Amino acid sequence: MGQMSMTQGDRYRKLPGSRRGILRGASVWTGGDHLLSVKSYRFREDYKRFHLRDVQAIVVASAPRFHISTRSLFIGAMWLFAYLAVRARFEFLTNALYLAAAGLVAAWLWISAAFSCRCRILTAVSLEELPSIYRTWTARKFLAKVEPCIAEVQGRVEGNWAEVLEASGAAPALGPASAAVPGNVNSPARTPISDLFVVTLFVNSAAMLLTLHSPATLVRWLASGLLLVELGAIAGIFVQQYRGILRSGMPRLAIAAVIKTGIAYYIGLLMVSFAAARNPGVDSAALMALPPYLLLRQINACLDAVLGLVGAWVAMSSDRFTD
Amino acid sequence: MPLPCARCRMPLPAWELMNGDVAVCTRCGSANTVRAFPAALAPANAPARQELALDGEAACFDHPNKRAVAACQQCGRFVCRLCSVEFGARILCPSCVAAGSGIAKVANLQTSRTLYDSIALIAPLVTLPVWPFTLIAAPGAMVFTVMKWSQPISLVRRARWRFVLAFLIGLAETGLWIWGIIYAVAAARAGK
Repeated sequence: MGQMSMTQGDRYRKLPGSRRGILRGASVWTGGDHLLSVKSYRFREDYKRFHLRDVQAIVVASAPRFHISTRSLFIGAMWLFAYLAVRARFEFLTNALYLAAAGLVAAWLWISAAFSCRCRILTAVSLEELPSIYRTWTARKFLAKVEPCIAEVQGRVEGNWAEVLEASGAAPALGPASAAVPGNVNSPARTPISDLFVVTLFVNSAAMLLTLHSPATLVRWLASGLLLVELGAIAGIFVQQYRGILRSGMPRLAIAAVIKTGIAYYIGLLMVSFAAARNPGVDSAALMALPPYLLLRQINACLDAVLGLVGAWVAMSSDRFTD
Repeated sequence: MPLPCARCRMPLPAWELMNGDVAVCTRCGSANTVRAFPAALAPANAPARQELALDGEAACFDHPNKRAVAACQQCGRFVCRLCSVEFGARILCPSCVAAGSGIAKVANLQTSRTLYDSIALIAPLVTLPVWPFTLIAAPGAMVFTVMKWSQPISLVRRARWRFVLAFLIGLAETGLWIWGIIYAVAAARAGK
C-alpha cells in the first residue's frame, strides 16, 4: 500500500496558472506534501494528488493552445458593447474598434501559437497533464514555485541528471502508463476531408463578406450550399477521428465550428423574428438587410476566417508530425 | 530513456536529454523543458525484500506468511509492508482505510466533490432571462442553500459566499414576486 498524507485539514495554496472556460476549468494547488490538480466541471470538481516525493519529472513542451478563456470572452463582450454604443454616432471610433478587434484576434492567435505549452507531471504510475499550465510564462512561474518544494523533499540531482542516470545504469521507474502512446498519435493531423473543411471556412467567410448587402435568392442558396458542404466535411472529420484516421486537432476545430454555426443560426433566427414582429408585412430579404443582422453576418464571417486560419495552421504544422 | 514528450507523448531521445534542460522531440519538433527529480533515478523494479515471517515472529493479519512491520493504530491488527498505510504519523490497515471510520476517517481521500454552492448560485441567475421561472428558482435556491449549507464544498475554496449570495438573490427575487403579486391584487381591487 502506498503512503497517504493529511489533506482534509490542509490549507491549500494556489500555484500559478488557472484555466477558466465556460464549462470547464483547472488549477493546481499545493498542500504541504503534495500537489493537487483540480479539474472543474461547473458543478463538480475532480481532484488528483501528486505527492512531492513521487514526482519524477515535470515536462513542459511548446505547443499551440487555442483556448478561449472567460477573460477573452469578457473582452469580446466589452468590444461588442462598445461597438453597439458608438457605431451609429462616431464613424471614426467604429473604424478604430474594427482595428482593435483585428489586433486583439491577431494577438490571441500569436500568443496561442507561439507562447503556449503543454505541461505534464510524471510519477511512477502516471503521466498527467496539468491543463491550467498552458502559457509559457505561467509554466516558468509554476516551475519556479514547485521545483524548490520537490527539491526540499527529494533533494537535488547533482550535475546532469541524464548523465547520472546513464552512469548509474538504473532505468527510471516509469510505469506503463507513462510509456503508453495515445491510440491515434501516429495518425496525420490533416486529410483531404479536413482540407475541404478548412477551405469551406475561408470560402464561407469570403462569400459572406462579399454578398453582405446582396438580397438575391441565388446568394442565399449558395450560402446554404456552402454550409451543407461544411457540415458534411465536419461529419467526415468526426468519422475519421472515430476510426483513428485523424488526430484530435482538427476535430476540435470542427466542434468549435459547429458551436459557432449553431449559435449564429439561433441568434439570427431570433433577430429576424424580433424584426418581423416590429415590422409586420416586411419580407424576409428586407429583414436580413437590417443593421443588426448585417453585423451578425460580419461577426460570423470574421469567426469563420479565424477558424480557417487556425485550421490552416493545424494542417500546415502536420508536415512536421508526419515526417 | 523513456521520458515522454509533453505534447505527443513519444519518448524523448536520450541524446537530447543529455544536452541540457531542453530536449527537442524528434517526432513533433516541440521543445521540451525537462525538470527531473531524484525519484526518476530510483530503480524501476526494486528487488523484493525477504519479508517472510519466521517462527516466533509476528505475521501480517491478511498475509500469514509475511512478517509484520507494524500494527494498525485503529484496530491493532498486524500489517506487513504491503498492507501498511502510512498516513502522516499514523499507520493503518487497508480494512480501516476502506471502512473510513474512527481515526481512519481522514484517510478517506476524496477524488471529486459536487459544488452545491455553485448550483445554488446559478439557479436564480440563469432563470433571470426567462423571468417567470424565477417564481420557482428563487425560493428553490433559498431552500437549497439552507439544506446544503453544512455539506462540504470545494477542497480548495473555503468561503461560502456563493451560498450567501444565492440566498440573497433568491430572497430579492422572491420579494419582488411578493411585491408584484400584492401590487397586482391591489391594482385589481382599485380597478373595481
